[in-house]
Amino acid sequence: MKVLVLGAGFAGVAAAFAARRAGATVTLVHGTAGASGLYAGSVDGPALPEQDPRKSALGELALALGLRLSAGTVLATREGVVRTAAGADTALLDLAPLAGKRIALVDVPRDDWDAPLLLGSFADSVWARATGTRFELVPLDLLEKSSQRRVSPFDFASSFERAERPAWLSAVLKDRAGPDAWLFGPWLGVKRDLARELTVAAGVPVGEVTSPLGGVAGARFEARRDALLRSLAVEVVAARARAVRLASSSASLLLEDARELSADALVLAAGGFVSGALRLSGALSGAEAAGFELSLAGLPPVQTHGEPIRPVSSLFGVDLAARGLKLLEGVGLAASAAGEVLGAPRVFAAGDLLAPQPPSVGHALLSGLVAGAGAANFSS
Amino acid sequence: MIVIGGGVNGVGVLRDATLRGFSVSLFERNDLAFGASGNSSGMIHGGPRYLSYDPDVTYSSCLDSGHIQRVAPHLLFRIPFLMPVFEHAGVQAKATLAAYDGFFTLYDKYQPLKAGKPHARLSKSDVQLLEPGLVPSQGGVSFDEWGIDGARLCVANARDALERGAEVRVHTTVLEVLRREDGSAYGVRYRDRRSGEVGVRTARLVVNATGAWAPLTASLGGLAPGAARLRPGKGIHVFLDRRVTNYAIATKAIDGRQVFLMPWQNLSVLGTTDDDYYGDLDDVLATGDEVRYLFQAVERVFPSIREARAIGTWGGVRPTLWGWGMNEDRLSREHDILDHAKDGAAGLYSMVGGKLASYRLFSEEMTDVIAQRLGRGSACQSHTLALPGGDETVDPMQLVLEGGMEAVTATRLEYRHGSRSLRILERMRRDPREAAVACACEPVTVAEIRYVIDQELATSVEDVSRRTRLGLGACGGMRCAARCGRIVAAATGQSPAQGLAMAIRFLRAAARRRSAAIGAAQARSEALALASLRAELGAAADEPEGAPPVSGADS
Repeated sequence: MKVLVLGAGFAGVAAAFAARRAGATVTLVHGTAGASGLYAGSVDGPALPEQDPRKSALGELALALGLRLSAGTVLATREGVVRTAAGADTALLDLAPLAGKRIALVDVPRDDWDAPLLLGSFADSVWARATGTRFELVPLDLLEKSSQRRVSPFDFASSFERAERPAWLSAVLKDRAGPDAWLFGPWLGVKRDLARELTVAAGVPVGEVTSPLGGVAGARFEARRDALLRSLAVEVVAARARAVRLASSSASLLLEDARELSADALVLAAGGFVSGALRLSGALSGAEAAGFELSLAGLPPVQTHGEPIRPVSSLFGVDLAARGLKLLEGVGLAASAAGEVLGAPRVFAAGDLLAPQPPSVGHALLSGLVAGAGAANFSS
Repeated sequence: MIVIGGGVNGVGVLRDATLRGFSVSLFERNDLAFGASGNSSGMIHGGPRYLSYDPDVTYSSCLDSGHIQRVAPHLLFRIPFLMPVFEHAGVQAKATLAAYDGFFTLYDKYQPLKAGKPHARLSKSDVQLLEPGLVPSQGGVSFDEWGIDGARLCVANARDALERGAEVRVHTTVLEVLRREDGSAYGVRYRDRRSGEVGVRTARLVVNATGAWAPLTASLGGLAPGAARLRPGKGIHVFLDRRVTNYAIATKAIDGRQVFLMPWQNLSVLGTTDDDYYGDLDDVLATGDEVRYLFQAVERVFPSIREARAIGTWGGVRPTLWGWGMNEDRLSREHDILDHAKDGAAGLYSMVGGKLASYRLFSEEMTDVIAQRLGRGSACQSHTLALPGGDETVDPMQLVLEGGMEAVTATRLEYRHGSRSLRILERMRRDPREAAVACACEPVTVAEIRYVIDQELATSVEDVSRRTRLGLGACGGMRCAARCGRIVAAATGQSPAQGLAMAIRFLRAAARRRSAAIGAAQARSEALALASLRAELGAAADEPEGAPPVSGADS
């Protein structure tokens, strides 16, 4: 059994993982970074009941991707919000076990880190007040030079991976015993699991707030994903797909460089309809006659918020002012519970392409597992 | 005296009358520059359109443009215009070009009044060289105009009056214009929309300078709706994430109206429409139809506009003078002072009509009437005394060296505040962390946010945005709104949660304004932005979309 997967975000990697576990040979095609590579580090979305048979696969996958799944996760965000989540990147500090304790918020004079105001905001949160959790500001001299005030969080995080820095930072935290946990900005390493190293060194939990768009959480996901795909012996093809072709006994992807890859089944997991897999065209263009255009030809029903989409009878496409921006997330392919795209045998869909409400990492992982298993077990 | 309305004419009268020694209170129900003043094309033009039938208007427009330039030199920036000839070819194109050339030769006579450069007649290849993105033309002409940030202009006028002892109350709605038994006006009853405080302020005169709201305001004095009649005209603009041309390009829309694609501050702006407006003045939104009309017009001469990323729209309502039976474009852009003594309300005046470029002159005329009526007051000085920040030039490099700012941050700061940027620099010296850039798109520093809260009457994220352009760049406030909300909340004694709620209101309003203009490029970013906001703000970001509460409901 050969399975093709299009897309290497959470949904695509989950599909490849499930298809390999079901014994299929897997080729994964992906072009550029998508929403997963830009995510904040938080896992939201549907929670699985304890007895769900997918639970063990999900647990194994999450571990490999460096995620900790727990319905009661509490995260601090860069915008000063304390919120619950279904899980997170293990480098993020889970506040739930720290309820009622004293958390040190690291103060660094970076342009994008207003620690004194964040402190006020965290301390004022409903969660902190309800649990009696205290936050305190701890200035740490983390800038090697003043230009680091303005480098991107990603570059700042990378600076802590240089040979002597992790040991230095560990020593700094050891010297400052007192707080029950340390809350950092999104800077604790890209390739190294610095949060874990520091946790061991300090003897108390050390972790980050959520990452900004294009921050370190997404980069860590990509590094772990690549390692996982290697260990699963998934063939990875770096290319963009232009079209899907269906034959009586196979499904294939036509790539931009004119190559064509065929398999027994195909999983589409290339991101949201608008942001990745399929192209929105014509909202402002006079020449094109449709609203949503399928850039992957030959695919059947597209739906918005669960209803089949109707052609837009305007030369100018969809009027988002009239229909609302949420429409952008609500457009997706119609698929069966097993992830099979309606009207397109051998083609499965996962992740944001199914237009869940709202799109989430949790949904991407689960629907990826379902679609990957469905594709591996497909029989016509 | 009392001025109602914090648009450019209101603050213009406020400043002029304060300079002449009157004691003035101004009431604004929303924020300074909330209406047409902050949502115009952002130009102080010399009025070439009047040249053929009323050259005196061109003369006075150019003269006043020169005055504004002298009192607020930091706020003006040159916008070179390009008017290519696309239609026809051969003899006919030559004739059109010759006509343009002759017309702008006349206009050149007035340019020295406003330090404008003379026009140039351009060959086909000149035009192509200057703007390679244009479709081939038959040649064209270039001419010179000045751009301005209308909101900054309003704030500078209000700030100057404040420093000279005037009272300015924003977010304070006038409930009633009070009148004596004999009908004469003697003050207003007002309500502070934030605190709920209701009060009375008495005065010898009341000036209604509420732009398109003028008929509504007049009715608060018990006047008939026709007493300050206008024919409001809605105009929208679409802005792109960057400057896509060097010149402003004037071209024609499908109905023959003149529209433009113009580089303006950090952006490009497409404008504008002119349509009779019957909607809510407090909630003016661009529609998909209007956006498409503008894109269609520009696309015809500048095809790559289809690939551009539209990041927002703004809409305003012109207080055009009343006229029946003609199309919007033909309506007068003139202004008029109505003395409501004719309606039995002595002491109440309405300023109707006008445009951004003529605000100072209009304000001077209004203040002349006041001075005459009250029989005192010194001579007008609003064209000779510098507005705050306009008194001396500051080298942005000084801000770079002393404040640790990046060059672009310093340049933008100096543009908005002129010499007052030194006061913001002083804040950074006291606390170097205030030099942090909070809004990376514009950019805007923490020090500037705090300064406009302390000194310029800003009390919300939206107010800060109006004064600094925070959150109006490519990211739509995604990276700065929440932080700005925390800063405003901390500075105004509100809780962090209230700051966050303020930020979410700002983000939601911005998303609503830009939804009419979203094309393929922006749609992709939009989906990511929604996911990011949901991750950062949690459930609060996911409240249902929809119109904000009806703002009139609380008055």
